[in-house]
Amino acid sequence: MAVALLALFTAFGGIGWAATQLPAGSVGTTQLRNGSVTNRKIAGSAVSNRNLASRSVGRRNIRRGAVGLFQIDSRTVQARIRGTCPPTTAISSVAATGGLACNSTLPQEIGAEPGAPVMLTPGRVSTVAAVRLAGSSPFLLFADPQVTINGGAGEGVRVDCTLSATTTRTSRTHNLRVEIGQGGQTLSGAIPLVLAAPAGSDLAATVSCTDSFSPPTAAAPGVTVQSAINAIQIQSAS
Amino acid sequence: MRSRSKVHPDRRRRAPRPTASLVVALIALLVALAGTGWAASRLSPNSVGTKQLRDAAVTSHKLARSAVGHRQLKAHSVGSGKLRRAAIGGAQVDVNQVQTRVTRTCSVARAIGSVTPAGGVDCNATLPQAYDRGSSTIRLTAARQLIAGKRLASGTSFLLIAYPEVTVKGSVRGQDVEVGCTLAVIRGNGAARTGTLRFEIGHHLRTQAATIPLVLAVTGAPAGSSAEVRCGDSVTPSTAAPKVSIKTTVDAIQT
Repeated sequence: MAVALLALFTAFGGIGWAATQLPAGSVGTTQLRNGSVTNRKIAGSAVSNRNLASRSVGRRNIRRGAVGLFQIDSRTVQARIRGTCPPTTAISSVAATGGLACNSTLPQEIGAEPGAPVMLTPGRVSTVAAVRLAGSSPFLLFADPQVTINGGAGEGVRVDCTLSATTTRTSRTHNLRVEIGQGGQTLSGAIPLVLAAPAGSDLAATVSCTDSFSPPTAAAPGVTVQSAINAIQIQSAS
Repeated sequence: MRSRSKVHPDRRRRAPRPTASLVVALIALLVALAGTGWAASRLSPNSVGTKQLRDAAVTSHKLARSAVGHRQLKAHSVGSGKLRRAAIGGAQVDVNQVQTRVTRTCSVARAIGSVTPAGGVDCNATLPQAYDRGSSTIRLTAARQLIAGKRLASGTSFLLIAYPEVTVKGSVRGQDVEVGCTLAVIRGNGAARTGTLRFEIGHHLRTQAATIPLVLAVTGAPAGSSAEVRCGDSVTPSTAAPKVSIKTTVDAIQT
C-alpha cells in the first residue's frame, strides 16, 4: 500500500515538475505557436544581421532621417551638396563630401596696351602691336590703330592696317585714305578692326600696317600708327 | 504434543510473496516516472504560446537565420543607430529619388548643366558664342542700302559690333559727301545705332576712306531677327554723284 501511494505521489509530482521545468532545447519550432514570439519575448539586440531576411528592411521600416552621412557609402551615394559658387562662377565638379569646385563663367581677356607710335615706311609692312593668346580657345579680337599723317599739300595718303591671328591664317584689313589739305595740316583718324579668331595652338594676334601715297613723285608723308589689341575668349567663332 | 506457536526460523526470514496490488503499484510507479520524463521532453505542437515564454527569452541564437522578415519588423523600427556604417550604397538607393555620387568634372570654361541619375554630368560652355561676318565691297546706289546682315539666334542677347569702311571718290572739288550707316536689329525692339562720316572732296580729287564704328547691345533677340548694317549718302552740291563704296564687318558676341 505504501508503494502504491508513493507511485501515486510520484506520478502527480512528476507531472507538476514536467509542467514547470522544461529541459534545455525542448521547445522547438513545432512547439511554438505561430505569433507567440512577441516583441517583449525577444531579447534586446537579439535580431542581428544573421536573423534578418534578405531585403526585409523596407521603406516603412526605416525611421525618418535615419540615413545620414554616416550610413551612406559616400563612394556611391552623393552627400548633400553644400556651398555655393560665387557670382560669375559655376559648378565644375562635386566632391564626395558635397563640396563644390567652381569654374569661372566669364571670358578671359588678354590685351596689349598701345606701344610707342610706329613710323611707317611706304610699301613696307610694319608690325604695330602683337600679343600672344594663352590657351587654345578661340578669341574675338579688337584693334584700333590710330593713324597720324603729315604730308604735303594735296598729297593722297592711304594707310592699310591688318588685324591677323597667326597660325589660324585669319585676318581683316581696313584702310584710311585722306587727301592732305592745301594748308598741309596734320590729319589723323582711326581704323577700327574686329576679327573672330578660331582656336589654334600658339595663337598670337598682330596688327600690321602699311602706307602708300600719290602722286609717286611727291615726298613720302610721315605716317605713324599706334594700336592696342584686346582679345576676349569665346566659345567658338562662326 | 506439538507446539503451534513454534515457527521454523528459516520460514520467518523468507520475503513475503508479492501481492497483486504491489505489482500494480510498481507498474504505476514505473509508468509515472517514464511518463513524466517523456512528457517533459515531448511537448505537443503549438503548446508553447506567448504566455509560456518568459520576456526576453528569445535571444539571437534562438532566432533562425533570416527569421525576421519585412512583416516582423515594426514600421520605423530601423533608426540611424541600427544601420551599419556605409550600409546605404548605390544599390540601396532609388536613383530616381536619391543622387548617386557625382563623379564627373567639367573642364575649364565649362560648367555643370545637369547631373544624370548615375552621377555623370552634362557640361555647358561658359564662354560666349561669337559670330563674324564680313561683306564684300558694295557701291551705294540708293538712298539707304543693305550692306551686310547676320541672323541672330532667337532669345539670345548679343553685343553687336559693325565697322563699315567707307570709300569716297568725288569728281567735284569742294563737294561735301556725308555717309550715314545704321546698325539695327530687324524685327527687334527698334534699337539701332547710327554713325556718320563727312568728307570734303579735295583739290586733287583723291580717294578718301574712313571707318564708322558702331556698337549695339541687343537683349533677347526675337525669333527671326537679324542684325543689319544699312548705309546711305547725301551730297552737297548735288551736281554730280561721287562714287561711294562700303564694306563692313558684323560681329556679334553673346552676352
